[in-house]
Order: sequence, then C-alpha cells, then structure tokens
Amino acid sequence: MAVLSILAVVLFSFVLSIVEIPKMLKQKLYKELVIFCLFLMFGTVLAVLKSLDVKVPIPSDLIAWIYSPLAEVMKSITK
Amino acid sequence: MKQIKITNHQLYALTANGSLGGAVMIMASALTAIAKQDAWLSAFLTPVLGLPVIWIYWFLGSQYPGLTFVEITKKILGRWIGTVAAASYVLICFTLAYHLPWYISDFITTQAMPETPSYVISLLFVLAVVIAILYGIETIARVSELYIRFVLVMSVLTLLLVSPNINFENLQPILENGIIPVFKGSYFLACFILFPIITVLMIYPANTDNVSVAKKAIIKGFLVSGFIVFTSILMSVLVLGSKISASLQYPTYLLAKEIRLGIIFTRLEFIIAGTWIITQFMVAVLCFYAGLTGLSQLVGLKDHKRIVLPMGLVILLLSEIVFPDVIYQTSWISLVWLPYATTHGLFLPLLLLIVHQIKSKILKAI
Repeated sequence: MAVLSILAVVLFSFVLSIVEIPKMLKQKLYKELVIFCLFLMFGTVLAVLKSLDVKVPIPSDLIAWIYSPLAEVMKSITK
Repeated sequence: MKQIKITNHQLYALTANGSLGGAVMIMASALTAIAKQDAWLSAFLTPVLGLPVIWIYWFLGSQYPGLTFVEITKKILGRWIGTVAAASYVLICFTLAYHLPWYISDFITTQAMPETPSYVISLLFVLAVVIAILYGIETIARVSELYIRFVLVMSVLTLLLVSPNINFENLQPILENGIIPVFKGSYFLACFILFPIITVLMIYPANTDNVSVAKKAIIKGFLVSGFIVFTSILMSVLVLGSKISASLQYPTYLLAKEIRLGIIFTRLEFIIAGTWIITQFMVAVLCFYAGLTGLSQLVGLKDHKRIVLPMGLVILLLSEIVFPDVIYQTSWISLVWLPYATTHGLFLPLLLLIVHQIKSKILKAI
C-alpha cells in the first residue's frame, strides 16, 4: 500500500512537471517556475513521509505555539 | 491581466456562502456547551454585533477600488510591515483551505461511510476545489449564485419540517447564568461566521464595479447566513435541548434525523448534510482562491493558475495531518482558532482602518 501511494504521487509530480515546466519556460514565467517546483517538491516529500508513516510536525502545533500566551484567556471564554 | 468583474448578486452569494461555511453543522454543539439554553440568543447577537465589522471590511475596500486585500495592506502599512501582514493573511487563507477537507472527511467517515479511508474523500473534495479554481473566479461566482438558493431552500425546508417536534420547555430558564455566557457564545460564533468573510476581501474591491452597491450585497449576504445559522441553532435547542446538542459533534445532522412526517418524509438528514458539504466546498474554494491570488500578488506572479495543482497536492496532504484526532481538534478550535481568527478578522482590518484614517488626515493637513 505504501509503495503504491508513493508511486502514484511520484508519477503525478512527474507527469505534471513534464506537462507544465516546458510551458512556463516558453512563456518565461521564471517566478512561477520556482514556486511551482518548491510546492511540488514539498508536496511530494510530504506524501512520501506520510506513506511511510513518519511522524511529520503538525502545522496546527506551530500556530498553537504562537497563540499559547492567550490559552488561559481562551479557556475562561469557552468554559 | 484583465480584471474580471462579478455582479452584486454574485458578491452577495459568495459572502453568504463564505460566512455560512462550517457553521451550520458544528456550531450548535460548541455554542450550546458555552451558552446552554441561551445559545439562540448568542446566535441572534452575532449578526447584530457583527455589522460594524462588516462595515469596516466594506469601508477598507471602498477606499481602494480595484485593489485586493493584499495590495491594500501593502499600500496602507508600507512595503515591509505590509508584506509581513499580507503574508500572515495569506497563511490564514491556506490554513482554512486545508482545514475544510478534514472536516468533510471526518464527517463522512464518522456518519455515512465508516469503511472508506479518509484520504479518498479528501482527494475527491480537493480535486473539485482545484477544478473550480482552474475554471476561474467568474465560474465560482456563478456557481455560488446557484448554490445559495439551493442551500436557502433546503435549510428552511428541513427546519420547517422538524418544527412539529418543538418543545418550548427546552428554552427555559432564559438567562439562567446571566448575560455573560451569551456574549461569550456570540464571540465564539463570530469567529466562524463573521471573521472568515475576510477572505471575500480578495474579491470584493478588485472584482466589483460599484463599491457603494457592493455594501448592500455584503451586508445582505452576512445577514442571510446569520439568519440560517440562527434558525438552525434555535431549532437544535428547541428540538434536541441544550444538553443533547452540546454532547453531539454534528447536532444539526441529528436534528434532520428527527424529521418524521407520516411515512413519506423521514430520514432527510442527508439533505442537510448535502447543503453543508456544498457550503464547505464554496468556503474551501474561496479560501484557496484568496490564498493563491494573495500569494501570487505577494511574490509577483503573473498567473495564479500555474501553481494551483502543486498547491492542491500540498493542501490535500496537510488536510490529512492537520488534526490527529477529534479531541485535538476541539481543543485547538477553542484555544487557538479563536485568537487566530480574531487577529486576522478583527485586529488587522481595525489596524488598517486606523492607519488609513491617520494617513488621510495628515495628507489633508498638508
């Protein structure tokens, strides 16, 4: 199952790159290319880690850490 | 790129959809936990107290016609602070966008299809969102016009059909614990139906023609969604009672299960689930669109549609890992989402308004 989902995601990224990157190069959209590659790589790596059941840091934890000073106030509001 | 203009009725539909969003299904539970049997009072107060905030949103947009919220922020706060504020705004849009598939997959796997893996449902949902974004804002606006009618008719119909089960004793005693829990509850509700409207500000001044008519559209959209939320919470309290509503995860869903009119009208709960999924879809599209266009304007991309597909992949995966379980989600919502939404939905526009007024005063004095 893990191998299958990794293969699916890698195939998706591969096909997407083949289709999209030449188009962007032709239209000289270099900024788009950088953002595109960054997010595609991020997504693929995340998918592989998720398929291998690696514990990934949760983005919600980061936001929770930023707002942790307000936790006591919020507890009094929602009680 | 040529700006696409949307009509006022489309703006109204987008606002109503964006505000309705996650609220109808889950809010009754959290609200009855806070305000007990007075939850309907809080649901009544939120649209009333929210009107000034909506006015701030409208006023900010009306001063800068043709610009999006990211551009307005950059213009008011200057290049550096503006970029930081706009980046955090873009981040909250994406945060909302990857929360919504989680809600859908959680709802479907716990209530309807327990054996289906959650990522299959998230995949279908994100796929639909990505396709909607690829079609462009004009299509999104048109489909929201179509959806809001369906949602309105269906929610009013289900709430009318459940009315034979009303028990007025569930409302008593009114104001048992004083007025304070009512205000707490209405603040809680505002974080779900009022502050997410900030995502509409990526569309409203930029893609509308007439800002003074747009005011009516936004206010009408907000009031309509406030009305639906109010009736659904009132019905939850009236039919189920505050204790049962508070202990459920999806009270409105159970409310629709209560419909029993003879043998013809029974088990209408998936009508209300359908309307919920539709509004969730519209909110996800709105947030994803706002995040994408915001990001493109932040880094100076010409075409936001180029990065939709990789972003969709990221959104799908983040929606899988965002909350490990429901307990984490409930505590995260009450401890983190409330201040997070308040910072971006209330304090950021307020700050922009104050700085804008000071700036225009100084410019006049010179």
